[in-house]
Amino acid sequence: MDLTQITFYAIAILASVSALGVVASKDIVRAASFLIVALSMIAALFALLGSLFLSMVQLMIYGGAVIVVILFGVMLTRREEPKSRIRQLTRSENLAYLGFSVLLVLTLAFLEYRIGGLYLRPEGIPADSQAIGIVMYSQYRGVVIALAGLVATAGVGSIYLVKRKRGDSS
Amino acid sequence: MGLIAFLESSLVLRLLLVAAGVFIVASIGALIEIYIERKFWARIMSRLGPTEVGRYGTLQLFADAIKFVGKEDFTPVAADVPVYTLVPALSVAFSFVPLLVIPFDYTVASLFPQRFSPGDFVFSNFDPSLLVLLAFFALQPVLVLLGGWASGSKYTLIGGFRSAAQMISYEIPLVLSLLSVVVLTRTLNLQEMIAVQSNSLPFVLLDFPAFLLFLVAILAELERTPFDLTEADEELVSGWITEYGGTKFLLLYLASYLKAFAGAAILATLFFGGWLGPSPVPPLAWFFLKTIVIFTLFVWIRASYARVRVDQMLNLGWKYLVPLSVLWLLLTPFAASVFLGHGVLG
Amino acid sequence: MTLVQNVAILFFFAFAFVIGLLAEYIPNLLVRRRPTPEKLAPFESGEDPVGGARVRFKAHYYIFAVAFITFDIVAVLAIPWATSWNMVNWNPVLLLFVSMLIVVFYYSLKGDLEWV
Repeated sequence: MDLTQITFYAIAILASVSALGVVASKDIVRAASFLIVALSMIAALFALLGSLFLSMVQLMIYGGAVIVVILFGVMLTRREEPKSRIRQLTRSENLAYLGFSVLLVLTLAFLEYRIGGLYLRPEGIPADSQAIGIVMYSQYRGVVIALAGLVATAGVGSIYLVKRKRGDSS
Repeated sequence: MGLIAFLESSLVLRLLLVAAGVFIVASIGALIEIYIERKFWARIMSRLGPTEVGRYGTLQLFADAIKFVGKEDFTPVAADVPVYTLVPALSVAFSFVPLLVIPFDYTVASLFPQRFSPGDFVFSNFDPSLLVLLAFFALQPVLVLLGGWASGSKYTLIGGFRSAAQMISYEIPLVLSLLSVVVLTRTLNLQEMIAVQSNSLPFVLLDFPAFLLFLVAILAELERTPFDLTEADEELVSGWITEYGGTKFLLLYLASYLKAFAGAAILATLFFGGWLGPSPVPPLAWFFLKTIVIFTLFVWIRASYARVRVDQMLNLGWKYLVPLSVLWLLLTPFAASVFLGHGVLG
Repeated sequence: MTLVQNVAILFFFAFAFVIGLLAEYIPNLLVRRRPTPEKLAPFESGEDPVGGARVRFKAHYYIFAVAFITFDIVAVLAIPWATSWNMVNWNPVLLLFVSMLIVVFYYSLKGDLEWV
């Protein structure tokens, strides 16, 4: 049991507990706080896998922007408290999500034990920002161009949608 | 010596030593900053500032701290207790981590030159160190929103929204103006950025528009005047921190000065050369001096400018700073090529 | 060596967090808690509190958050370009930034980025 393994198990336990907290908390802002912890644990996993770049980008985008959007959305609207937590948790959609998650975990376990796991980045290849840039902008530049189109569409579309809803309600 | 062998063997102990050292240096920096804030600002306004406690009022902060710590620890009736209690501690933690990546000169290693190399005590020489700083500044709006919500008062909630909107509006110019400096050095490693500046002109001259953009953006992120509209004392009391009293307030106050120290330190590192300077003065002292001088500039700006309104602040951020920082980022490589050609840049 | 940096970041965070938590408990050692309704009520400049704390506010804040998230993604995608600009093709980054600027200009001309 070396340091890396201990760290991994600590992060995994914390991630699972916080994910459970997201689902099980009654107050929705507390659920969002648990979500922040869960996303930070993913950032910690990226760091453990050797890419601090991705870890910090995860914190910047998810912890800095996505959570802010979620919190703004949640705090700006009012919703009713569910009457019974158990009844809400056992609704058919939620059971379907649970079923799919179990299926996913079983598939990954199967891959791990029969084929030796999924392919990870081999050691020794530098993953600093310059190398990422070179690969991203020469080999994968089609992807980045597609992302640019997606960003423009998302930006225009989402602001348009929010404006229209606001126009309807006020 | 047994102590040195002990230090050599354990990484955790070295980390603890470095963390404690950085905390002490940053706290001393924060103390000096608060003193300058009160005295310098007062003098600009033709007042005297603190004069009673200690010689020339230097111990005023200690008196204030003792007063704050001695207050009753209360929790508002409508507050969300766990989040309310965690926010001040998290705020200190989030403000402290960026200090890890700012290159100080850990003079501990130079005390024992045979047994330790500087690399044993310096933990900031890794590639995406600038990103760590950006990430922890990007995490601030979440804290502000949760802090305003958890106090259970609708005025702190409004204050939290406005602060968060301000911080996210100026986050992009912050990132893009720092990226402009990254274009000049082509690395995200802060120590290498200082190394590049050691054989070229400081980046404040080579990259002056980025300096201006970053200055405005960091003032908005730190919620200092002219951008302190969320704690406009006549309107919203103290904004989102209103319901935090006693030690919690002290922790939030400390966190805001640690952030100011980190912001000024980044300005000093990226634009003025960090710890570089002529040799009789040790590098740590140069770094500290530059940071404090930049912080004095922040105080001077605070004392001289009026506060902007919320719509002026959002206009400035989205309609002026964002396009300007994008344009400058796209122009910087051309400037960099010119500089490289003339040998001005390392 | 990357593990050391990661541990260092976590360590600094934990260090400051623990110091903060410990500091928050100091007043409990010095002063006994004596909560009264006046002390615990939300601050409303001397008036009695009116209404709940969770009321509905203007949705305009949300537009800024959405705009921020899209532009933050663009800024993050530009970070690798900033370190390797002299070695790669610029087209993708230019497209990213141009699309971002178009969105900003379109909405500011339409009047949607005004503070209502």
